[in-house]
Amino acid sequence: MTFQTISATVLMIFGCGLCLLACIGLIRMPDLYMRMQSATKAGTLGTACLAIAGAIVFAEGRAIIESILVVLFLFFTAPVASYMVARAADRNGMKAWTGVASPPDAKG
Amino acid sequence: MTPDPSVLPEIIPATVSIVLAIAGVASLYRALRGPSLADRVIALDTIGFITIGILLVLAMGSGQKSLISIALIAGLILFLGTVAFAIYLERRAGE
Repeated sequence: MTFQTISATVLMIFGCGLCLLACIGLIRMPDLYMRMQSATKAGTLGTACLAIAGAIVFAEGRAIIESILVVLFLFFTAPVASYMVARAADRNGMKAWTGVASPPDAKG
Repeated sequence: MTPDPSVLPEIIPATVSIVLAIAGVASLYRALRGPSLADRVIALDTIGFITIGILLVLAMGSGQKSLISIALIAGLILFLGTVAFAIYLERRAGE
């Protein structure tokens, strides 16, 4: 077990866990804005973790540069895209959810 | 080029890609059911992220470095698609 193996494995497990969390948030959150923040933040970080794991596994000039480009590109574009969808939804008159989260065993 | 199994045991990319596939299929639920069009756009955006992740894991599992370039291009196209949908939604609101 080298440092390379351990760090790549940890980053890959972290990354796929974050992608799974993004998707759980997408399904479970009550309104569009919460779904959007869950999906965008967790999805971006999860994919970035996988890209850094790729850079560690290949450990070679071009692969490292391309992985860093993937990370930079995701970090620049994902918030912009999410912001534009949120603004469009707001101008379409979508209201934010104002309810109170109830415990799972609450009645009604 | 074959991957070096001493760097990454084969079981790890396999497991990670199965988890990512489960996440992608689960986000499809929101894309199909989503109450508004913006929900569907966000769900497709998430599916795109997961696709990029699967491409990267596939690159690590198979040792094909060019799959990372494909992931980069997929990210570019994903951004353009989401922004185009957002502009469409905004135009629809203005009418």
